[in-house]
Amino acid sequence: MGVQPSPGGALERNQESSLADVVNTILDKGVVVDVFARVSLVGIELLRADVRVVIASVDTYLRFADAVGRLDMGSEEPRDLTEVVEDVSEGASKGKSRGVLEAGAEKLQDIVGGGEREQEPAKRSGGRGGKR
Amino acid sequence: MSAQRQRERESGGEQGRRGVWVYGVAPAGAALRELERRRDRLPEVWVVDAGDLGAIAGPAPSDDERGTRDQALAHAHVLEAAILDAPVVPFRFGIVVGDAQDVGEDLLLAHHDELAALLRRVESRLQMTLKAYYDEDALLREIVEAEPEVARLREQLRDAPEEETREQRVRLGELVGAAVDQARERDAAALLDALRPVAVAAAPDPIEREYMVCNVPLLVERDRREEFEQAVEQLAGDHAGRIRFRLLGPMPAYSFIDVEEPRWA
Repeated sequence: MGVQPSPGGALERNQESSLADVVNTILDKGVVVDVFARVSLVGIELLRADVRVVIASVDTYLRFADAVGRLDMGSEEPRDLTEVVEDVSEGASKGKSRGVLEAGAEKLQDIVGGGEREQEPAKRSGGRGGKR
Repeated sequence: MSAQRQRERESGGEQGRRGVWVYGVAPAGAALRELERRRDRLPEVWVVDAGDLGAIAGPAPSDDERGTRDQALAHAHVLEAAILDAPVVPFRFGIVVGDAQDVGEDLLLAHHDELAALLRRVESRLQMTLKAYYDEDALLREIVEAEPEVARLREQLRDAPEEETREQRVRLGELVGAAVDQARERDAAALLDALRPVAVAAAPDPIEREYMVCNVPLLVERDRREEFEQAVEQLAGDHAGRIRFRLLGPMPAYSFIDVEEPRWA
């Protein structure tokens, strides 16, 4: 995995996608040549990235309030950026044929769940409240 | 490798039953050197040529292995290696064709015009995906400093018992949430503006988490990649301490393959 920190450390280069990147940005894209007999979409239930994002709810607000309450306004200590990890949780299926897809769904949950080999572990978060 | 040779290799094997996994399509005879160099850490991959097109393909995993993490990564990594040396039309994850002969005839020849047109469209272009994230504390501090009402509520709630202040806390959270949205809108627009001169098009995806600024696949001319990367470096420098960037790629133009004439919105 090529990761080249930039001089300032604010840019991380990933020349090979991590599992989270693949799930989030690649799996449901790309060409599907119109169906003919021998081409089949393998049964995969795609997991979409983080459904917990910015859904305005009381929980969201309380979390913001909590975050801003915990702030130490005196200190300018920057946080260690390596703390930032990808949160991947399950979302809507983009699959075509549900029947075949069931088994694949579990499989992808497995793969997303066990992200320990990634440089940015794909954590499963139970819900919107998941905090790094 | 010709479809014919491919058939010979495969004959009678278990692979025949499992089918052939198609990663993408490149011009026939493309010298995929990086794919070759990385072969030890990639699955077995062949190029099946038919006419002027070549399918990047390989043995399909067994049913049990098709949806695994390894296969998902393999699909991405094969394409990411191939794109370094040739234009590639990426296929969606999970496309399996009966055998190598089908790849040549039913896929490449039967869909030649369609695939050739797609290939022409991405010929000189790559996708780079930029993900930008706020430093959470830096952004929140900024908001406390800029919004007197946020600062006031924050002070007020500081040592108050949680159970009695739920309403005020929701109010504070609403204000902070709105301020985060405003910042995101402003910053995302500014970041994209800065990249406009060095990219052909942008196709923003939804953000993936709360403190994300933007999540943007960008279409970049192959011969301007360095220029694009310098522009991103420049952004990272300009926003150091406040916004952190990840740049993925080069990868095939996954997000632009359906678009007739990719351009800036």
